[in-house]
Amino acid sequence: MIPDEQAGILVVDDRPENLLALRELLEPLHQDVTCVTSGDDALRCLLNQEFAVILLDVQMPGMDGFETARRIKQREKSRYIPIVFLTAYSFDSHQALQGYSAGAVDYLVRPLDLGIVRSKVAVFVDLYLERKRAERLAAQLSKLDVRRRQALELNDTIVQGLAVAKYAFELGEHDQARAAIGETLEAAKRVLGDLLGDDRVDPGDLVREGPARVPTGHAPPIPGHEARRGR
Amino acid sequence: MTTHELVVMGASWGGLAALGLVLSGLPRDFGAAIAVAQHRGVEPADAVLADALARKSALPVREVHDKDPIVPGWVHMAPSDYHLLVERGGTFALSTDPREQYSRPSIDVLFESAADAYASRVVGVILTGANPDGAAGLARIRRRGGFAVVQDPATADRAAMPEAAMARAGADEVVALSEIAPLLTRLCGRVPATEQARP
Repeated sequence: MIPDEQAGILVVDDRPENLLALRELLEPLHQDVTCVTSGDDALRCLLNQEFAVILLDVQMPGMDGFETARRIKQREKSRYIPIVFLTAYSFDSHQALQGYSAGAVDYLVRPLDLGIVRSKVAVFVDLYLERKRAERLAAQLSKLDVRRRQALELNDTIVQGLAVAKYAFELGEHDQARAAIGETLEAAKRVLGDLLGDDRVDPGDLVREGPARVPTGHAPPIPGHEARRGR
Repeated sequence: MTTHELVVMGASWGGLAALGLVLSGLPRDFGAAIAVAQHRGVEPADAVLADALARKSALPVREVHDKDPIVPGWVHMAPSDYHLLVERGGTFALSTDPREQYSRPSIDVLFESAADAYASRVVGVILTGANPDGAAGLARIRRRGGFAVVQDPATADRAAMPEAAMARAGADEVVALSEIAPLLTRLCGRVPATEQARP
C-alpha cells in the first residue's frame, strides 16, 4: 500500500543500467519508484499496487512495450494509468501511432533529456496525488452527509415521539404515553447506534443495572474479590 | 332541519383533555363539520395531535391541508404553526401570517373567517385556556348571527379564556364541559349514516 502522500512510479526496462539511471533521476521527486525488467514483471506488479505513471521501454525481449501496454489497458484496475514510452530510436509516424493506439500518452526518445523526464513524471505524480486528495475529500463529505442525515432522523424521532407521548399524557392515556416514550427511546438508541458505531453507552444497560445496586442489607461485595478468590 | 353546518372550536391551556372529552361525546353521525384551533408548539409535519384525538373520537380527525374541503362529520385540525381559515367556497385555507395573541394557529383567525363565510350557520365554542384569544372571533360570530358556546369557567382547567370570551362576546350558552357534546349534537343534528362522507 502506498501512503497517501506518495505516488507509485513503475519503470519497465530490460536493461538494469537504464533502470539504475532512471531510479537516480526520479529520486528527487521523493515518490515510490518500482523498477522491473520485463513486461511480465510489470503486469505482476500492477496486480497489487497502484501507480501514478508507468515508464515503459518499447524494445524488450519477449513481450515488447506495445504488447505490455495493450495488456495493461485490458485490465480494469490498470486501464487508466498513464503510460510514457521510452524508446532508443526515432519513431516514424506509423510506429508512433501504433504506440498511441496501444495506450501511450507520451514518448520520451533516447538519449533522454533528464530534466524533461523528471518534469513529465512530476506532472503525472501531481495529477495522481491531486486525484487521491479529491477522492479522500469526497469520502469524508459523504460520511459527514450520512451523519447529518442520521442526526436529522434522530431529531425527528425524538420530537415526534415526545409529541405523541405529551398528547397521550394530556388525554389521560398514561399507558399510551409510557409506550410512546419507550418506543422513542428504542428508536433513538437505534439511530444513535448508527451514528456513533460502538462508541456509546446503552442507556438501557444503566437502567437494568440500577436495581442491582440497591443495598440489600448484606455487606457489599468487595470489587475484585471474586476474581482474586477464583485464582 | 339543521341550520348549523360548521362548529369551530378554540382551546388553549388544558385544551387537549377538554377537546378529547367533547369529541368522545359526539355521535358517529354528527351532523356538522368541526374545525379546531388548539394552541400548541411547533411540531413536525406529521398529524400527531390529530392521531391522538382520533383515538378519542368516533369521527374522523384530520389535520387540514391547504384547500381541503370542509366535510360534514369530520374533525378538521389546524396544523401546528399555521392559521386555519374558513373560505366561502366550502374549503379551508392555511396561512403563515404573523401570530395573533402570540398564537398560530389563532382562534380569532379561525372564528372570524368562519363568521364571514358561514354567518348564522356556524357555532363557535370556546374551551379552557389562559389567554384572551377567541374572544374577538366569538363576538364576530354572534354579530353575524352565529351561535356562541362557552365552557363554564368553573369546569375549565384555565378559566381566563372562557371568561374573556364571555366578557367581550357574551354567549348563547355557558355550559359545563361534559354538556358541550350533547349541546352541539342538539344544535347540529344527526345525519343518516348513508349521507355521511367517510374517509
